[in-house]
Amino acid sequence: MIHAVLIFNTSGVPRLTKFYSTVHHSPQTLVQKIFSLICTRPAGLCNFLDAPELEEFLGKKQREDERLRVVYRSYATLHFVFLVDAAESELGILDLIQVFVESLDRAFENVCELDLVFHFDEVHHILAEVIQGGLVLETNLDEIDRSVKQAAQARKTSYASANPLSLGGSSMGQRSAGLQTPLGWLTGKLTGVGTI
Amino acid sequence: MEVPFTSSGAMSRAQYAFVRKVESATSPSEADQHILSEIEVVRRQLADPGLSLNQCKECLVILLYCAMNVSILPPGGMEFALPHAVHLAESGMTTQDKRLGYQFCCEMMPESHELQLLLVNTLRKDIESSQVPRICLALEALIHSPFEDVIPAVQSRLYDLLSHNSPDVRRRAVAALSALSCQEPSLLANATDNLMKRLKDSQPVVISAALIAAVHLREVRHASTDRLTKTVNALLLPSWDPNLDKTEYWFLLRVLGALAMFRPTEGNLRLILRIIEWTVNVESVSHALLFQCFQLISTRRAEITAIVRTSSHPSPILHIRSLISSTDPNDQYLVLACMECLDAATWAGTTPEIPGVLDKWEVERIMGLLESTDAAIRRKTLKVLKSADANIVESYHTRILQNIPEASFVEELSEAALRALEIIDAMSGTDGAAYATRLQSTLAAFEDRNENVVLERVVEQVLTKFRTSEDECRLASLTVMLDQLSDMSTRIGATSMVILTALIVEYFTKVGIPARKLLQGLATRLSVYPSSVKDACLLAMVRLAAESDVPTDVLDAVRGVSETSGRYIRRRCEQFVTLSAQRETVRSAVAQAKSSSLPDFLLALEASIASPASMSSRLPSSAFRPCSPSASRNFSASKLRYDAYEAPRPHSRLLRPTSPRSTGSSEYARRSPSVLTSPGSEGLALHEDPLARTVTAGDLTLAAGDPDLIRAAERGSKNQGELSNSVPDLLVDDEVSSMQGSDLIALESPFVSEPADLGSSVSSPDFETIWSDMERTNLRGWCDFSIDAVVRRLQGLQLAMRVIAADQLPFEGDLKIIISAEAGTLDQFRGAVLRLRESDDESCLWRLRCDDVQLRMQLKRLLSE
Repeated sequence: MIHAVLIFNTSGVPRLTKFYSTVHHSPQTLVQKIFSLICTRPAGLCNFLDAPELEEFLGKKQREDERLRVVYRSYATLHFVFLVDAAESELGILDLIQVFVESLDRAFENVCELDLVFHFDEVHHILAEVIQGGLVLETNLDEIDRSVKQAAQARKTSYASANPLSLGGSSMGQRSAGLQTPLGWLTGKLTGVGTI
Repeated sequence: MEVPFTSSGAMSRAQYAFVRKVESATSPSEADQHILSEIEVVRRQLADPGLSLNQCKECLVILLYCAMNVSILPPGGMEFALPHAVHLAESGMTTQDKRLGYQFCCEMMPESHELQLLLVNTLRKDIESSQVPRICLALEALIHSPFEDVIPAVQSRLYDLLSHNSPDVRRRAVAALSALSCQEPSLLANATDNLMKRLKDSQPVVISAALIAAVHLREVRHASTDRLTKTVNALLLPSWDPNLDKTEYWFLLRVLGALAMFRPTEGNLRLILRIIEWTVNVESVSHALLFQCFQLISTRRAEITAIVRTSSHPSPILHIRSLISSTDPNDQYLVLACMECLDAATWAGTTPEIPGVLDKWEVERIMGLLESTDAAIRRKTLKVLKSADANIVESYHTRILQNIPEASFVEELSEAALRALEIIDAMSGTDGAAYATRLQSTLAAFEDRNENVVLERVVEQVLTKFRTSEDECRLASLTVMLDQLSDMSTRIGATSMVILTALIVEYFTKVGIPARKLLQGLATRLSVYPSSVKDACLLAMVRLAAESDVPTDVLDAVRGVSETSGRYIRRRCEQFVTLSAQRETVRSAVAQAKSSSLPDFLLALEASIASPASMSSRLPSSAFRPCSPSASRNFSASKLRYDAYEAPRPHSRLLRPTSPRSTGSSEYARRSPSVLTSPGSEGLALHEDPLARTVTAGDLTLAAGDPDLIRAAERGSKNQGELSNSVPDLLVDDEVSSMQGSDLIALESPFVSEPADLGSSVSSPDFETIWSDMERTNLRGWCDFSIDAVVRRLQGLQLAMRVIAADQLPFEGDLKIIISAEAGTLDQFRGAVLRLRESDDESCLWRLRCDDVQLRMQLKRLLSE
């Protein structure tokens, strides 16, 4: 199971926090704890780490397949972090992070950190197309993209029907149109990732 | 943040301005300050009865941003906005509005919250809607936050939705049933036939969701498991095609994942072996698929070994040989993880029937990964090598012990010890007794270099291992570890002793070793350790004293140590002797501690000693302390009842016109009654996260050295000596009544929270009261500069403050400072109390208590710079 999905920048500022399990203590402390685990890792290490010390936040795991792991990937100034138990394949999660990032990229048209700052609610919605209740709902990038666009279209339609005189609601594409990618997102993505 | 509003995509100018302010903040505390003020602004906006849905939506978006970015949520969290979110979910005109309402509820509503009932009808209406987006929204809310009360309202509709025309609805309906089945298992079980249909759905996305539901049914051993196993097995062949490209293999991944929970047929096992071969040869295919295949065959190790043995198929490891030479750490991890999934017999040549598949250089390369800088890779390597030949790991362990760095290189010593711990962890598996035995010998080897050095990271690592072990394993380890204390001839080094003291305090009640034996074991060895370790030992002994009478020889030993030790340890020894006669005090501390860990025990003990309730009942001497806050609080209750309107005495008003403690606490009480009436309430818990303080070895020693306990012990012994003196009773009454009068006036005064008043009016007894009141916001640390420098820095903050000299009560020896934050309205009173103790080397120990987040962080930064 996926217990949490977190995005934070290289300064540890959270850009998205989503918990699928009850956190027994302050979520902010958990985020900081995970950030401290990630940011102290030197380059050249793998993208997985066992994190038994996090069990105190999510309840003690008795079974071996419930032991917690952190799977993360860094893109430009952002760390994408998934907290999972051993029932999830860490390699699968690593690919899932890539799928999630590419979904964001398609939805926001060259996504950058700023999109996450102003549209974290949209990021939540895109994440909901990928993960529901801590389980992977969809892993096909095209399928996720289709659902996200469909949802955006549905919102637009719904907005138009609720406001008959309007010229149409906002969509994610418009919101990010013309916005620079100050963090060199694509450069980071192309140079900083593993295989897919 | 240089993006203009028009390009930002912000929902409103207000959101843009606020986010910009937070993002431009130069420090986390400044950002927190902006966020907390914004929460207050939004709180007021939401209280406006004329609030439109659009405004409500904007407010909720801002609050979600605040909740994600603030360091500590205000008391009560975002509860005030929940009714508005429920309303938005119900009355939202557009899907976007409703979505935000649901999202806020999902993110912010605690489990079993009463407002969940208000959502039932909204969910029912949306789920029965004819519009797909509304149905999907309601289903997503159910998936994320399933609750029992909603089941009767949505059950029948959910079953219908399993056959809805839209695949988006069908897959979410399956997922919602799975989520709700955690509350009501029969819900999914009753839909088995329909689930079978969904496993044969035309849309892979629906099948993926149905596979998750099938796994749920398998986990509860539902009667349909055999049918499900057959159906899931039947999915594998059609889901794989050698021409699959990288955008199509996801469905295969989902099928493989589900099949790992069911029993793959032998035909499918052979198919999986073919997929492994294909996966390695097709470049575009993800390693995740390869790993998933290995994970799947790990569930049928014996069958795979048999297949390889009959030579009908080469060892699967043969296909991943090419990855062994990779320098990418993820590839290295993958190779090791795959090898871990198989019996070593299939690749290591450990049985004559199956020859080894790796060349010598490949084995050497894997051996080389033992020296990897990545702990995860090292651990995997150890497991793989152990499965091939445990002697390899044993000899590696021996090699590490033979090459222990010199004691002067503490960092290297610590690193080598951590590596050795990884090895004994891998060697022992779940055998707790074996782990403890190896741990003892390993630590002994390192302590031979220098037995007085405490390797803090080693202590942390071992304690984490104990905390995360399964109960049975932990108990076996504990018994072996603590048993060594009983054998007086065993030498125990400093690192081991710190570990033992932490284990005693945390787990003593779980082991069957008599407390007397442990006390004797600790007392006998006490004299040989450095002060910091003695400190921890004495604290563990205090904990043990709650469980047993302290033998005379233990008391004698402690007194002996006291005579030969410095002032600090002497005080600790006196404390032990005093508390060993007051078992109830220690028991009360054990009961009140947030956790059983040593630092929490110390904090609770400190509080228990200082607490008026506990002390007044147990220690009659407490009533004789002239300025004791406990005494004043005990008496103030009766004074309030009978003399509430008595005019304040002019004498008191002049000397101490305002009691900051009383104004502060009354304000806190007004703002958040739970803070004072229910310390364990949720609002407080948000502030007081025990895990914010990681229990490190440094904490253990620092906590053990807390002078509060020494002071309390001193006071206790002093009080015992004063038992015959009953004079101060009247004095106490007099003091309290004058204070009470001040308090009552202060409560009425609009000027009471002015920092200038506070700064000029505080008297020493009030410092102690404020200090006690704020005991839950405790910070401490060392400053590298002198007390004078600290005071100068504090003056630079331009805040009102009052300094109480070190030679004045309370906390004699500490310079005491009361700091008031900027004046605001009455309900925004903020303040902090600080104690500074000078050390010999121009540095000082600071201890800070402050209920105000911003001020606390500001001061902490100032003191830590």
